[in-house]
Amino acid sequence: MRNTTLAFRFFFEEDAVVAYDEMSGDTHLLSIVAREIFETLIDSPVSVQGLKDLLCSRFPEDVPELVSEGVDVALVQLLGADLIQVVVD
Amino acid sequence: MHPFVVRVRSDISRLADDICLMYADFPVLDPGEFADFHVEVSFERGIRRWLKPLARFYFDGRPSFIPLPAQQAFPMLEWGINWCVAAHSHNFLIIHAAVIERDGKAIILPAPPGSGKSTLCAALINRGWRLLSDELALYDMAENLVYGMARPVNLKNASIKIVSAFAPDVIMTPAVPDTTKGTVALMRPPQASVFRIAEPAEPAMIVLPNYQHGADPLLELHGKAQTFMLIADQSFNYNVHGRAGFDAVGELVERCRCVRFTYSCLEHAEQVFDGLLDGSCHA
Amino acid sequence: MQNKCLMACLMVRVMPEADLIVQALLDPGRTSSLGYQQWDLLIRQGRRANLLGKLAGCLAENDLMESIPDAPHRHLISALKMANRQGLAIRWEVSRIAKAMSLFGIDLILLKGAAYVLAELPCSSGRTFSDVDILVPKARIVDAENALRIHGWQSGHHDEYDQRYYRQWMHEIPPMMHVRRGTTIDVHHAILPETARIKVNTAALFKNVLPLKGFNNVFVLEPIDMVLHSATHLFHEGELDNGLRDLFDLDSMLRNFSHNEGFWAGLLPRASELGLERPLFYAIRFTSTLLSTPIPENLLHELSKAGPSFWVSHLMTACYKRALRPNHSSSSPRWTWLARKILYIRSHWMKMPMGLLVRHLAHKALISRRAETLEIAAERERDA
Repeated sequence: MRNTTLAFRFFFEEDAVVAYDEMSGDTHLLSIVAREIFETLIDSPVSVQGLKDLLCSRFPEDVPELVSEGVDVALVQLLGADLIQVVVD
Repeated sequence: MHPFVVRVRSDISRLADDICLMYADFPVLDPGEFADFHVEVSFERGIRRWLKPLARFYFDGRPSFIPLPAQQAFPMLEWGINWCVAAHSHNFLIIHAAVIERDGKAIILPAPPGSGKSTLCAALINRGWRLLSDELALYDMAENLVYGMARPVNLKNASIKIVSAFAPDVIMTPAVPDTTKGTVALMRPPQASVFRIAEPAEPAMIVLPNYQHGADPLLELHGKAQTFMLIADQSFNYNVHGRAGFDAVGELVERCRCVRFTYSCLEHAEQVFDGLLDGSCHA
Repeated sequence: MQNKCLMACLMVRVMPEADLIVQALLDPGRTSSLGYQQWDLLIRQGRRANLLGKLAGCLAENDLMESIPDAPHRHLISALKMANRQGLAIRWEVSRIAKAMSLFGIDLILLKGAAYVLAELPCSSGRTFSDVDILVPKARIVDAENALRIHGWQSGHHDEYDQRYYRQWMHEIPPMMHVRRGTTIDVHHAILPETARIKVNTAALFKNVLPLKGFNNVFVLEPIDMVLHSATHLFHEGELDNGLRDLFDLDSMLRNFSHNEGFWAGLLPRASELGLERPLFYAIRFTSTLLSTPIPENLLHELSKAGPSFWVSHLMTACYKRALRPNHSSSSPRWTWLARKILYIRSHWMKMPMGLLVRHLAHKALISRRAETLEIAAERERDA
């Protein structure tokens, strides 16, 4: 996780959120799942599977395969926005 | 040209004629008044003056942009003023969009070039809508109001004939060929719009125009998060405002209904827009 | 020699009252009595001199913003917002540069605007920047260029002549631009070209640097060196559109650092050690005469020995007094164009030996002629 503060803005009943990076001044369009992941990673690194399990438990009404896909997409978004990086054990 | 005063200098007599025609309803101020921008469009010196005269735009005495053929002097002046405003007015959040108003409510039409925004804007302001701007929406972030300059409307290529047919009484400059944007003409703003220049308006809707040949008129809801990114992208100075800009665009998009409007015919567009604000036309 | 005397005589005159922008910056309280026409002129001079943001910052610090009429007030707010935004952006840019350089273990020294911001100096308030300038040891310059390339910077100058100009003759690699952010970085390995007439003791510069909080590989020059670098840069510069702004930077630094123990006493000895007495002479001469910067008497006296000959001094004074003004019609008295031309040629003369200078100026003239010919040919083709 890059050390920064992200300000999020949500819109009623929308799956996408916008986020402002205070340090770089960049603005990003992210999915709600990406936001959940970002908030989770603030505390410590988590494995990809760990993230998927966590989000499945947060969104029990959603199909696990869809949540898993959502996590994959969100990780691509966050990596592309240079907000997270992969740490290999 | 509230909220700005522009002082223009030139040695090109044709430019003076165009200014008198297009800005006929604007007040002319005393030279002793404060001017926001001092601009000049003048002939380039040298032997070319007599062969193929070129003109250049100056801002505060500094030459800006490459020189263009002198017959493009008026479009050059208009683009130059747009640039001055966009680059030096960070008291506003400036969005590349047209803005029209009726009954105290404004509709913002952001769109990249080629979307038909100016043609649509030109048509609607000849059917009862007030013109705030065809190019630059000046959003006051503190007041949540949008200001405009009610300046001449920029039309290109086919739009010139289309708008002339739709509103035969409009006054336009002669068409100027071979500019970087094709053939260009400027349309005089309606007098009623010019007289109300100082009145801002509260934004009620963001409509993304999408001209498609032969298409039936179609209104579709556009996601607010996506609209946010589009507005930020179409803004000249979103980055300058930093976090305040992020919050302001968020507020703007939150308060407005955001729709995408596909159309091919100005008459249909007129009908749809008539019903937009009272809710009789909706996505 | 006779021509120099004649030129000096033509151009030396009693200088008129200082420009409005200078008056306003030195005495912000004056602005409360300005009429609309004067505000009109002040905003334009400020903008041309790139000092509008500084003026806004100055008026804000003195609680004078509320008394300014609406119309000019908007322009000041606009300039201040831009300057503040650029200040934040430059911090981010420096953090990215530091990260890139740390990969190769390169220490870098920030110069000019970026240094003023990161060191939180008063002269950074309201200032705008076009790029970041850094200094790295000559032995690490290739690594520095590679580090930047890996992290998204690209060199813009592909012309063989330009490459040689920068690498072989000047003291830097060609400016690099970041592909995504569009920002520019200038990487230097000395503060003056190796071909310059003044030989600078660059190694000594690297010895006195100060670390920056939050970074382990980014440094700034210590106060005396910062002043000397700024003076050297300004009085070797050929394009003086930012000349007045740079002079105000010097004024601000001199006033700010004057509280540092040993600053004034150490200035001339350090200038001698680095080989920079002449730029210091000009810096002190013009800050004190044009901006009323307070300078200790004994320093003024000692520096007078570091000045040029009588006639050169007269000519330089005549030139700089004209060129260190806003590049605007209201502040360009007669002979300003000549003054700027002389200083432009002098700047190149200072940086390269005569033979090289002649070749360089001829090349530049040829390039611009070629460009114009191509433009005319293209136009003819379009019309045909």
